[in-house]
Amino acid sequence: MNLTVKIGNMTMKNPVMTASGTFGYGAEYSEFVDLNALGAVVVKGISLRPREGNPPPRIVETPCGMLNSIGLQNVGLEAFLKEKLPFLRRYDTPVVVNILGDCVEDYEELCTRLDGKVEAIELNVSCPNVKKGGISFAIDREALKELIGKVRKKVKHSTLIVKLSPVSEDIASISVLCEKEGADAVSLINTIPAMAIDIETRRPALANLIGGLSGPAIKPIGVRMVWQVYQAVKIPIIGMGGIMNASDAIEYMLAGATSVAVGTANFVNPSATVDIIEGIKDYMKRHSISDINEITGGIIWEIKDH
Amino acid sequence: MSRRFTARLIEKRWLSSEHFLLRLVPEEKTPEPKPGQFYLLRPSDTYDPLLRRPFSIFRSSKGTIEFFIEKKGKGTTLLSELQKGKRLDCMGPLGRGFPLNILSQDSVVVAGGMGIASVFSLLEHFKDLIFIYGARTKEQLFFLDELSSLKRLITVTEDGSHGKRGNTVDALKEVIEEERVTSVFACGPEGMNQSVSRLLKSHSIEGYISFEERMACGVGACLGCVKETPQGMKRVCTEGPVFSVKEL
Repeated sequence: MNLTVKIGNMTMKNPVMTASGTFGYGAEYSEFVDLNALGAVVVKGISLRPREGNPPPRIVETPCGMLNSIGLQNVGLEAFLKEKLPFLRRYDTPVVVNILGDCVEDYEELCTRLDGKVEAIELNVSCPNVKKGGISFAIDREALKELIGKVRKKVKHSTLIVKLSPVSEDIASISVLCEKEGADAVSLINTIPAMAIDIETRRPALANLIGGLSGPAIKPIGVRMVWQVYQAVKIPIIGMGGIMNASDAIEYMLAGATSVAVGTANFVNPSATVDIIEGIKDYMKRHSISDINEITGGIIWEIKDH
Repeated sequence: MSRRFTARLIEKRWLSSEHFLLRLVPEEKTPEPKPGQFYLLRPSDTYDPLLRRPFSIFRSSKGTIEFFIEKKGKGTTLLSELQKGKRLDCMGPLGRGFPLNILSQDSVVVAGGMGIASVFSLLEHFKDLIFIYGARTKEQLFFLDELSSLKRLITVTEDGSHGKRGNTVDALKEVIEEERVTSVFACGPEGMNQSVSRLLKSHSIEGYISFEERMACGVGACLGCVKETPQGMKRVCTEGPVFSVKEL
């Protein structure tokens, strides 16, 4: 049975990785999960300098999901390289670093410093572009094009992944743009901007008012978007959004994902990733599938005329 | 020994229409909890509610762990409906507890309302101290029989129905003015915690306070439960839930 998948030039022993921001820098969960068993570890988003993030409360539970407004708190590139990466290097598992910046130059510098030190770099393009009035790269095609084009020149050894936001208008054509500009893969979906209010106090549930919705509530949206992107590009897709178990992971793969990322499920079940890997094996046995890559895009469908 | 385990519910005891004790037996060997540490319990096998809920260890003995819970929202309501024999998915003990080595007869412990859940095991550990226990009314003061073996128990209620009328912070102020106090351990609502912290700082008394925050992962990964401190954001689940007043 082959579970190996490739994302760009990153080889993963199975298709299951963690989703950025839900697994810390790996060490936090190492007591609960054998990190060697994972396809890849994707760490909390890193910026050039450390960030404090948003004031609390930062999270709130909503039906079948949760909102978070962590505000990109992270230790910064220097501390990551010195204090966090060496720990992950003790494991035989590829490391993916999610990166974020205020402007194109930030991303370029992060990529220059990280290239070759980690198996893959995932661009978080949902952050505001400070030099262009704070408009997110995810919704500004020109800025996104410039960003990917420029970082592509800096990333010579690692695999370059662009993480897509569900707020992008026409996610399929955005993914085509990413592919044209040289991205090795796309990952989707990031969380969905959402809000909750405490009706007794009339206060917003989050200090930041708006947060990102994740968890099982968003899974059907993620599956739909992965399917749309799969129709549009040739590069591999990392599917994520509400994956709680192996069935969810397989659903994403049938829609077109080569690999999947597990996020919020880690909070509910700290061994969710390895449970999903086992569940995928069971599914393969049950359906006599010898190579996991066979199921990518394997949805059987037709549009009937009436 | 794993900090993720299943435990069987062996006793549920109601202490009021909203307050109950859950006593669980872990089905495997788990680390001994320290007073002030907490566990994450999964209230449901479904996705709504989705997240685990954090609860301070109330009492632990001979392979059982006990939690004192107030029925407030979706998660605690589901926990209150569990039947004896039910198996629960647990994580713990987690976080940093109270430093027991500085407990002395010159220590004062303060609990406001449900704060009793987090300091009770401290009081079982060391009884030769002063305990200030406050609540809105006498109906919300629990375990008074068990607490009678302490060196001194001072109760305060907002309506004066038990002990002095007033609040725990004023009671603590009085004790500090009258007695030699070298350390204070506290847990209560956010407002009480803040006031106790300010009071201890102004008297330069060593203090440890247990805080509460909404939590997701419980292991320091998600950065959801942070508390703002002069030294930056601290995670309640890992740097806390017990913080030294010096850190605040």
